[in-house]
Amino acid sequence: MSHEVKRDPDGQLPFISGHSLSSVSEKISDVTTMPIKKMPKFWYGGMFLGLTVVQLLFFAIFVLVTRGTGIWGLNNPVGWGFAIINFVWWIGIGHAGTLISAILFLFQQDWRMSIARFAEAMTLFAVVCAGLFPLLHVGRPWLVYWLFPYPNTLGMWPQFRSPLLWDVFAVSTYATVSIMFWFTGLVPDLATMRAKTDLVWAKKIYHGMSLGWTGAARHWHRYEIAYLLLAGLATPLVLSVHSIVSLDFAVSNEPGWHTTIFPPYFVAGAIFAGFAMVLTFMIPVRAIYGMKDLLTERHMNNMCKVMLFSGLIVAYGYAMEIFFGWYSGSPFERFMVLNRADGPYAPSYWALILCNVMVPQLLWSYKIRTNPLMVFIICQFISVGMWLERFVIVIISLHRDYLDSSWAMYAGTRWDWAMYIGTMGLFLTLVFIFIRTLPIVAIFEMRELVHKEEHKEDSH
Amino acid sequence: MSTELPHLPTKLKEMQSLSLLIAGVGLSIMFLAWIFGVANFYQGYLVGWLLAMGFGAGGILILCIHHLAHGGWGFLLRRIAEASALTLLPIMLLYLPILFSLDRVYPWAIRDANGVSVYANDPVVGAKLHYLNHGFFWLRWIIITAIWSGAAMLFSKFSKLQDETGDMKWRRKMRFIAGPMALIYILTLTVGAVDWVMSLEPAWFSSIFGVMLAAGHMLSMLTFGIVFLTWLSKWEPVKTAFTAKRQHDLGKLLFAFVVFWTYIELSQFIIYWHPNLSEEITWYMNRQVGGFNGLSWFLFMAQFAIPFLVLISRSTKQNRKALFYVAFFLMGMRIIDLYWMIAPSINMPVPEARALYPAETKAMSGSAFHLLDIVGVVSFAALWFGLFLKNFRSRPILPVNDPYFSINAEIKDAEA
Repeated sequence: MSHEVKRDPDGQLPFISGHSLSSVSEKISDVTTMPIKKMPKFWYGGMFLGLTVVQLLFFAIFVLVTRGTGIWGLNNPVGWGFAIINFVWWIGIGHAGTLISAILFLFQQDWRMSIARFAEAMTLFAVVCAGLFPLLHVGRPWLVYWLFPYPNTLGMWPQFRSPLLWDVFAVSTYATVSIMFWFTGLVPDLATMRAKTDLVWAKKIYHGMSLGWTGAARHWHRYEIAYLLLAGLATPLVLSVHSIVSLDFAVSNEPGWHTTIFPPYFVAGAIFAGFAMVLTFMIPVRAIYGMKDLLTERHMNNMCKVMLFSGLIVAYGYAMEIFFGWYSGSPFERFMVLNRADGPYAPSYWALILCNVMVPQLLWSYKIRTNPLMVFIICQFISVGMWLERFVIVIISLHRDYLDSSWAMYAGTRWDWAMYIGTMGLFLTLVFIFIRTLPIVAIFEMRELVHKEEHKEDSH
Repeated sequence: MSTELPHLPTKLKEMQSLSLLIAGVGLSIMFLAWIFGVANFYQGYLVGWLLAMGFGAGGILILCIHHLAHGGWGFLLRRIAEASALTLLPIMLLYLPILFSLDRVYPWAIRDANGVSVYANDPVVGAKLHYLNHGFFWLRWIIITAIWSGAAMLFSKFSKLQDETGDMKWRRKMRFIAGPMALIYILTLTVGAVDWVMSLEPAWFSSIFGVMLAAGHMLSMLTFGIVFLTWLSKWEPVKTAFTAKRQHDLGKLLFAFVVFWTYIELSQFIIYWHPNLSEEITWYMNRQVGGFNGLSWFLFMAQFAIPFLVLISRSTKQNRKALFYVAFFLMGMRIIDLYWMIAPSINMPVPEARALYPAETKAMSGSAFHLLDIVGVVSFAALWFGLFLKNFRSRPILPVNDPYFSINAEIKDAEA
């Protein structure tokens, strides 16, 4: 207990300390195995909020399906409104999970172990929320399968040159690989849960889901290979999904959409927003479930650095939009830049600059990066900022483009807002169901980390 | 076996003298061509200069990434990157011949008898003459030169002090400047990319262009690093320090940046190909005719498809010889990449593209390919390598006093 914790030359603590192999398993599985009456108020509160807000979504969908997309605020120049903004916002949020699981895994960044499970789960939930918007925007969601190139007698074939179709493939691939990746990573832990739970029916479910895992060397060997391969498959998805989303805009000839920096700048924005969302949930969860020793301040520090870095790329993107808008010499491009900063929607543009460019600069400070409250507040700014970014791109570009005679203003209706807020309820509900039913930190990976740390101390 | 090896410091010194000799001869030829007003001087000189500048600035980029991410691979590259970054001041100064004859290279710089730009009444280029003019162009070059060479000196100074004292303070200082410098690097490089390359076709623009050049810089420094480390690994201490794992890491990094370069190029291509707007597609039209078309395909195959297929296999990345050859090949591809960027913009083989420009620009280019292109590239490559070796020789090869690096005890033994 009292042995000294080994610090690295910078004086940093290890990512895990003061734990043994069994204490890690106990601590994490306790969250799911504790009697439901003992769950903290935070969980009840979150679940209640989620389930309440999600009713709004169901109601909005019901009205939409019965009355059509006319209930939204779309008009003639602004044919894409909240639906695409929310789609891009949610799909972006999912990217943190993929980055953490795939790229950081391949880079052998040990600190990813504690946060990967949670972030991957959020990826899935975010993709679910994102997927709803294009599904409902087609107007007749029961015919959405027409988007796929299946042999039919309708004489219909999707337009393969349209990035909207690329989106169908990109997002469905993303969802499939993310589910497989998440599930594969869960298998060893599901076996642990099978052993830990006392409820017969829960035991049966965990038993079925753990696919007969016994922890045999052969199982581990195959698991490691499968995980590595899936990480390899998921890596291009980090870049491809949001790049293709950006092409939805960039291949048009709309000023404000049509610019070549879009793919990398969208990817960076996705990672930026995704990390903000993971931290938004991680910070309260680690405090309430007493997991500050597993999800340490050092994790938060590293995540903030990723956020600062991706935020700076986003800021670079804004700078390029302004500079090349001017440098293009095109009066329409130049007008677009001015219209953002000085047009009728100027407040949303300046709010975006405040949220995404100015506030995140606080993260240069180590003190702020390790202060949970400050990080939490900054993350809220970023989440709002990233929504505003899509608002600025979609609405400000469309509402005034080439022909003055077809300019118009746009505003989301109450149904637009109901659907957007409703998806937040859906997201919350899914997150809190996940917290209750599955280990939110990968147990076996934390055990591996404990082993590594012990081993490191032995060798000195 | 190792008794056959020449003494490393002597070998490096010999190589340095030879490189500088080649550079001296080559640059003398180039300067004669400049003085005698040979039209083809500019293309060869610009490609050569961009190549050398890419190695230098790539050094800064690698140093920023290394200090921010501090992966094990970075320690091996640190000295190489520092020595390379230190070449930036002399290399940047060698842009002066072009600065003194801007109107021979950049169409926007051509002025009529009254000293007014020939584009003054052009609706597109005329609208950006507040930016593209002689005075401001010079000023931007001075600022970039000062920032880059200043950063190179700072990194090098702190690293030297850390090596001598082993004090963590210097390491922290390097980390402290690495973050802001990464930001400044990409901003200044974007400005440079617009000035030195994009403004060859002043009506054309692309907002991803700075990132494209940065990807090239990364490839330059990374391929050179792998080649040079492999060669150095015949001697200690690199022999011990360049472990199989570190080599594998560098291989992975190279693979990642080959893909990244392609990603950036492809993004620009799709975004311009799809809407097919006349003012934007000139870049590709000029690269789709005659020999340039073949060159475009060659670039795609040789800088993406083949290296991708070769590097994706773990056995290539772990095989020292194989990785050496791939890196060496990709280092050579930097020349093709830069020539592909420059030559079609200077020559404008497509009449529709050329029609966008005033008649005066027609006299600017010589032929698409000329012997001076080779002289320019060889002399700048030799000059950069000579200067690099001069800087490299003056320090221990590895930063052995870095507390993170010296954890590996066997390397310290080898150094002793």
